[in-house]
Amino acid sequence: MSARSVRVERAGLQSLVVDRGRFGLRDQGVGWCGAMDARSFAAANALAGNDATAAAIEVVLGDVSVTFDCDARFALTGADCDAQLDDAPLAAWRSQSARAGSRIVLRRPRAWMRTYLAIEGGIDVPVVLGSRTTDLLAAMGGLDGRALRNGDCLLLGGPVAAPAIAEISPPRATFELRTIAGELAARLWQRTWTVGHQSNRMGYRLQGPAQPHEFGALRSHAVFPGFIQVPPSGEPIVLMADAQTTGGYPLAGVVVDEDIWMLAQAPLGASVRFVEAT
Amino acid sequence: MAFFMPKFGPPNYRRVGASAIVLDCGESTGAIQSRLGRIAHDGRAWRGVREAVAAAGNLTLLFDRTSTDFDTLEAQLDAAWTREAEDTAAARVVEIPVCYGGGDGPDLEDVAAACALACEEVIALHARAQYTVAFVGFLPGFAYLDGLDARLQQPRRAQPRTRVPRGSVAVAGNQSAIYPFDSPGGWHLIGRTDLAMFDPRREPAALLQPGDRVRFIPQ
Repeated sequence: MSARSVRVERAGLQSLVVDRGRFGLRDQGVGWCGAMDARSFAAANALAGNDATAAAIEVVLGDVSVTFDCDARFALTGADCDAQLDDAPLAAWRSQSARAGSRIVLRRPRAWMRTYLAIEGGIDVPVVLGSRTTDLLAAMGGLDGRALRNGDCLLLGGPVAAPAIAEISPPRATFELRTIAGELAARLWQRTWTVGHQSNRMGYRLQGPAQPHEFGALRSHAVFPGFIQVPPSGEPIVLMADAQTTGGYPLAGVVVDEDIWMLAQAPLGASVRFVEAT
Repeated sequence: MAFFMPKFGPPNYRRVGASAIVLDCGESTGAIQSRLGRIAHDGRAWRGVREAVAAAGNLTLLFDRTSTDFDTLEAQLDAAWTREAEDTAAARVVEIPVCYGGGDGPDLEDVAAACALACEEVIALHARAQYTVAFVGFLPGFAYLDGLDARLQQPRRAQPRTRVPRGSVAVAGNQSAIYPFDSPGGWHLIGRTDLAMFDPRREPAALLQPGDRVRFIPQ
């Protein structure tokens, strides 16, 4: 019997083993990390028949190929990468099955940023501080605390029962982020912001009609994903999954949890808007 | 039995977003930091609390809206603030061996020049002080240490480094700190330690905890 594993032939730009996140340790300076687009990630696990806590692979901008060493159910969600399974078109957002030896190929997506590949049984890397997710800053979790490389082999958990659902409709990303107002909220509304190139898993830096301010830095306080910080330049930074645990900039608002996934899918240069949450 | 009443007044409460509440003391003395650290420790066990993070003179609880709410947590925080007035626990002392200057502390000479001191005096002043962990934040295991000698205080570097080596011992403002990982950073690097500041196999993973006393031992 072959091992329950998959091999990463092409690892792409920054593919990571992720789960929901590493929670309850921010007082030790440990960030949540975890899937950037929690919504697509959860859908992928559900379609693979996995528990919500299982680990999957998060791919940035496609260009990845993965070969199965065993028969397994799987699902692809998030950015549409014109995926193929052994040269046949492969529908995303749907429960699928692969035979041992088959290969999934992802191309570059035309829209969105991140694709999730969840495989039956979940990616079986060691649990570190309660989570399997990769923390790139602390180099822990995931596969040796790093992004995947060509040739990596990932073990899978044992087979699981068939999923209750076979298909999920992909959500529509309006890139309108519902936001609860903070101190400097007046600067956010009725403007269009562009996702800047310095955006990453820690934070999305937005460029646009910014008003510099002279509040300087405040005494350090706790910050969380979704918080919108405003450095003196006035250009907002929306904190994302890998955000640091404390910060000192004034706060413009907090993006509601349900909408953060849209920002995780906004490509560099995309336009986003903030709308006041009611 | 309380032998003294701290001078600071009652804290303010602030609601942030849909599910975070901040207790703000308006200042960050040693007594306030140790009190906040103890409240954060208690608060972690309260119903619906997902994260309890003490920082500089403030404490934030992030909660799950399906099992608690702002009013409940504000009442719990207020009760804890009153209850935790007295600090009776003996502080733990952690010694950090440091190689000062040279490649380990590339900013030592600049710090000495900025403070109009000799390098040896900077080392002596840094190592003579006893520090207290105010809080842990920024990076896993990054402890903000209060107690830096006033003669060594200065703003952060104008140009932050894109990579500070792990173990770097640094100063900025009125604090000192040790970088637990290779990371970007804007503090002045005066030395380096080989001690692991964060180890996920350890419980707790961060070597330094709020309230701990720290001494630097020149090697």
